[in-house]
Amino acid sequence: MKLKFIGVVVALPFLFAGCSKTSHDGMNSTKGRYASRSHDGSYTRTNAMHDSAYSQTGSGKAGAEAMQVVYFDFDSSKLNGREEEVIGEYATFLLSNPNTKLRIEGHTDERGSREYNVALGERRAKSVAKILASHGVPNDRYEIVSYGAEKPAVRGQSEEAWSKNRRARVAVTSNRAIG
Amino acid sequence: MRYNSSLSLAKKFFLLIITNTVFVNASYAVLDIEITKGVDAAIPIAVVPFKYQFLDDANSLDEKNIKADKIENVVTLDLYRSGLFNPINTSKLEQKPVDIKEVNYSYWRNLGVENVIIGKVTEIKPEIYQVHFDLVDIYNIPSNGKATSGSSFVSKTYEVSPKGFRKLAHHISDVIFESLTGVKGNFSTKIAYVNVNWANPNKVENYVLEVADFDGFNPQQVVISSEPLMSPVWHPSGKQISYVTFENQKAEIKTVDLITGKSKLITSFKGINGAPSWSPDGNKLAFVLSRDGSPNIYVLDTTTKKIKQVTKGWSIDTEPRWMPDGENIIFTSNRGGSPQIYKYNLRSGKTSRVTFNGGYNARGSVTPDGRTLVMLHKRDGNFEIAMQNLATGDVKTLTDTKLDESPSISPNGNQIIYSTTDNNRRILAAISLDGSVQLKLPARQGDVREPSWSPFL
Repeated sequence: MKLKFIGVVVALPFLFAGCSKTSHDGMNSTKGRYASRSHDGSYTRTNAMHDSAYSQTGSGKAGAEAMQVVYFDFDSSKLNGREEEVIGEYATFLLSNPNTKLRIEGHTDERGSREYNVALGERRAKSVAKILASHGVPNDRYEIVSYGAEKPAVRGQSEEAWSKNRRARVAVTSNRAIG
Repeated sequence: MRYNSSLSLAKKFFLLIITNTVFVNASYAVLDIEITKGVDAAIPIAVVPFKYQFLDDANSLDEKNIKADKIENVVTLDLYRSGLFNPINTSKLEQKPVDIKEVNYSYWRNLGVENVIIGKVTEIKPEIYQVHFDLVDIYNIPSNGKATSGSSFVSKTYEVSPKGFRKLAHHISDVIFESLTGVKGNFSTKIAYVNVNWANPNKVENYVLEVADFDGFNPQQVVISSEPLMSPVWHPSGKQISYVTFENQKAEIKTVDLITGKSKLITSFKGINGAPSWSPDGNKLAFVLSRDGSPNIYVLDTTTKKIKQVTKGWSIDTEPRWMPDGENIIFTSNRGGSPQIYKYNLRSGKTSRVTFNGGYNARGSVTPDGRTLVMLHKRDGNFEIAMQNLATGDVKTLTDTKLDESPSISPNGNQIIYSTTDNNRRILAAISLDGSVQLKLPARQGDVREPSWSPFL
């Protein structure tokens, strides 16, 4: 485990693709932009390396690409067990890499009121933060920003598009260890 | 029933006007104003084509090569948009009086018209025009049956350059509207909104806070950002707009001065800084902060610079809006499980729930008379604009589209501007509060959303 994470810090962009493989056999998350729908109807996590809405954010190439996205139901900020597991892996990584800082973004679909959606997006980001905290990650390791419905991952007015926009996005913003 | 035929004629007529307007204003990519729902009970009125006289032999503004909107065309559209008037088709009129003495009462009464507007535009110096109009009440019959200068109950004269035609026309609409209804007109007011250009996501000017005339014309860019801008709201002075910006990778509230174009930071706390709303006296700003964990309503006193927390607790409390009395703030909260609108009294500190109808009511605002709540309301899975009578609690939906949002009430309380979708894009639309007239505003490039109606200017 320890060796793996060291290797991962060197090649940060590939870290979470690696994690995906360990926990979700058969899902090649580096290829797809979004995870496919699982049988229970909820979205599974994905490595959103090519999330075009974020091409301008993040500090440095590694930061922009090392991210995870988890999805939510309408007007809900509840994570399912599988997604909690993903965030747990992130926590493990953070604890082994004390110089890494994160940014957790909360997002909603376009439906409803914009400012209410900002609040809902913050709830989603905080659901992620809560799991990090439960693993012992101090809260000065991450910042939370909610964009509400302002930065959709996908444009469109279908449940398919909306389900991809109801998300929290976790991204590494700095990692001084890389230099 | 008589009005129905004149309504369809009026609609065709408006399309003609609109086409002309588009031509004249082609420089700023205004596409159309589409009236999607008409009036049945509006008052028939005739806006007779004005007479244009020039110093040289020219017969029209086109010949003079002047890009200006004909004043009577702007007035006609303004009156129609209000929902209270139904201007008749004037293209086939047999009588087109210019002077008050030419008004034949029986002719207009036979057409079912109650009021006639006549006027003339005279070039008195190069590029300077004298504009005169009369508003004549056809049912105020002089004893001899003939109109005299005393038969006009509004008669006004102005001097203006062609650049000012549109502004003057809106002013004339205000004068006519107030004379006939006793209610102040909205026609000289403005709207602020956010224009998002999706065409090129890497372009720097992605999010633009704009201000335009109430009808969407003359858009001016006020703030340009590569990160989201949202929640524009006017200061009661009409000289500043507060808004939320993410340009520093976090939410902040800023206020932009419309004269200097300069923005000033208001709040930049950890977490949400959102949903600004000015008190009616312009001295206090309500907004949302989540610095202590959950989104709550706060009020900044701009004279003492002190921030007071208004709501407490762990629910989502957001979208504060001052009621016209300045003593109550309505806001959206999910404290009861789903988003509903509540009212907080600043004197008593008491909170009461206002909406009970449906599982999603948000973004509330109250009409200037304090009687009606306008809100975003979810019905059968659709997000619609609705209003609630605050005395009886009766709820009425005003729109029947799928993804409406951000209703903003005109300063006279007659109309609502809101954001809706059209061909997968966000556009602005307006509806009269009685639901009688609904129209789409000029379509712009990208998404147009979060309209905010200015105070009287």
